[in-house]
Parts: sequence; C-alpha cells; structure tokens
Amino acid sequence: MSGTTLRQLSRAALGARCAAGLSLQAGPFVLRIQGADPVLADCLHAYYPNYPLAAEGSFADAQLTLKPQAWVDRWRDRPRQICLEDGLAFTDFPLEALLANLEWSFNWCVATHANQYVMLHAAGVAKQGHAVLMPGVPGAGKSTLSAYLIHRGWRLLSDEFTLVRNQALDLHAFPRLIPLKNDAIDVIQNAVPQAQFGPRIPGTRKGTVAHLRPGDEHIQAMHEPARPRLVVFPTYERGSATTLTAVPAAECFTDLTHNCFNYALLGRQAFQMLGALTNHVEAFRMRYSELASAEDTLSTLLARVIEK
Amino acid sequence: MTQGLGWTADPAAALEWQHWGEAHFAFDARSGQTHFLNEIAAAVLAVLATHTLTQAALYEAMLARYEVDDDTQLLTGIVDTLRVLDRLGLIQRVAS
Repeated sequence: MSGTTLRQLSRAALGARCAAGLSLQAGPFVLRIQGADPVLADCLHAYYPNYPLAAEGSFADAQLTLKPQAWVDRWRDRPRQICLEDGLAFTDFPLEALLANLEWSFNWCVATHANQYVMLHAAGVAKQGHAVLMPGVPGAGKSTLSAYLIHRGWRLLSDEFTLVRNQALDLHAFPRLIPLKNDAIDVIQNAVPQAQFGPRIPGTRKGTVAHLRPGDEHIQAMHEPARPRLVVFPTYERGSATTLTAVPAAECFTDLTHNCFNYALLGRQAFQMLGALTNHVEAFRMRYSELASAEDTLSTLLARVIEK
Repeated sequence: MTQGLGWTADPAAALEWQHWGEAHFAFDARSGQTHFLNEIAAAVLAVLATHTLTQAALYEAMLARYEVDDDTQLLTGIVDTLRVLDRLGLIQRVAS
C-alpha cells in the first residue's frame, strides 16, 4: 500500500482535514467525510488509523457530513446528525454512537450505490488468495466467525459485503471495522484477548455493539483480489459440535441469489455471475458453536479444495 | 384449451439458463424474474422454443422424449406446467 495513512497525520492536522473534508480509501471505495466537530477527528484517529487517505480529487463513492451542532444543542444533549451527499439528515444518534453510525452510513452508501459489483450479503476471508464466502442472515455468526478467523491467519475481505466484480469472479476486499453485537463481543474478547475493540455502544437497534479493528495487514492487502473456492453457510447453534453438510449446486445458487443485495437490479449479469460462482465453488452448511473447531474445519476444508 | 391453437415459447422472454441436474433456472430478461423449473417444465420450454405444438402434440413429444407409453401422470404434469408457464408469460398460444 502506498500513500499516507491517517496515523501519519497529527491530531491537529487530522482535525483540519476533517473540517475541510477528508477522503479515505476503503477497499475499492472512497469515503469522503466532513465535519469540524472535534469528535469526528477523535473517532477517525482512534479507529481508522491504518486506512490510507485517498488521492486528492478522488471521486467519492460515499459522502458523509457530520452536521455541526449549535452550542444550545450540545447543552441540551440533542442527537448528532450525519447527512449524505444530498445534504439531508440520514441518521440521528447520541454522541457515543458516532462510530456505529459512521459505519452504517457508509454501508448504506455502498449497498445502494456500488452496483458495478455483484454484492453478496456474505462475509469473506481468504488464505493465500483462496477465499471462503460465508453468506448468512443476521445472527448466523458471519461477523463473529470473521473476527475470530482474522486472528488465526485468515485475511479479511469483508464481514458483510462480498464484492464480485467480473466474470473472472475476482472477489474485491472491503475490509472494515467488524461490528460485534451483544454476546459476541465477550466471545471474541475471551477467545482473542489481543483483539482491538472500540467502545461498547449500548442501545443501538442491534443491541450493544462494539467494533473490532482489523489489523494493518488486512488494510494493506485490501487491493489484492481473492479467488472464491468455498461457500459455507454458517449457523451458530449453542452447544453444537461442528458439522458440515454438502449443499447441492442448485440450492447454493438459490441461497446466493437470496443473499445478493442487488440481484434484482443487475438482472442477467447477476444471474450469470452467481451461476458461474456456483459452478466454481464447493458449498456446505456448517453448524458450529466452538470457534476454534469451526476454524479448524474451514482450514482443513479449504486445504482439501485447493489440493484438488 | 382452444382447438387449433398451439403453444410456443414467447421469444420476448429471452431466457438465460442455468442447469444443475434436474434443477433448472431460467432468467427472464423481460420481467427480471428468475424461475426455478423442474425437469418437465424445462423440457416443455425447450421443445416449445423450437416448435409450436398443440397440447396433444406436446404430450406426444414428451412421451417420445422420455421413451414411455401413455402416462396419465405425465399428461397431468404437462397440463399443469402449461398453465404455470402461461401465467409466467414464458409461453403463448398462437395459430398452429
């Protein structure tokens, strides 16, 4: 990775850049954030230090503005607001939830605009360029598994958005902070004590959320595509042994279409690419409760598929 | 079904296909919908893509395709399939 990362800016310089508008590179996307309130620079300084600044004048895929607050609003502890590029308020939130709302706003922009990609609601992790996709409904354990796996030698592509760009089925990494919810926060903190977390944010629409910060190596590798080799549909089930069940191709294809954010919009292109993806991978359902066992199972499975 | 009218695939649907075993998926570019079709439906569409056939002629074609004699279940399946494919806009009735 070349260029300046946020940690190379002094806190004062970062504040000035935020006030004027600062562009970050996150995977293939440029996020432009603007806001003079020092809480914004504090947040970026703490949780996005390893993200590179985008080149000046880069097209911004998402534009977020933290709306300034009058002193009376601060005094009355009124909610903060993030506006999108149209200038209209997108979300209101208490100050302590700034990080979560920045992330959700960015996600919303990507999910609604980035239709140059087939976007799957799936986590993606990779080893040596070979990727495992983990599509699943909220609560299936995508983020928790991703958070664990990236501390066991796997590269983070995304915990939420798998981006497929072309018929070659390259998966583009979009490494972001991983939002863990409720019990999953303690699970990962216990399993991976070295994991770097943001604050616990209670009372969000998803309960208590804490964001895990991916290490530098994941951000530095974000421009390296990976090849899909496995699709694994995870299901967390308390007390369950780790089990794998092969998924027939037709069922895999159906589930991929259901987990594709922009399937209806892309139409034929998505139909063709998800068909090609189905033909390119082996697919399984994985039931698990123990993260270490799940990781072991995925590693063994990927090694076997790569050997073929 | 009206005598003298035959069934044919609607070319405007411009179907794109994916096949896995006996599971068949057809993407209809006109409606933007993806249809999951069983073996009979896919076979009926394949035949009607190149021929215009009455129900009776289609039944004969299917008997030949599957190399079976009279089969009431197959006939019922074809009638049901024609109804569904017609409702989906994938086939149309034309003078045969």
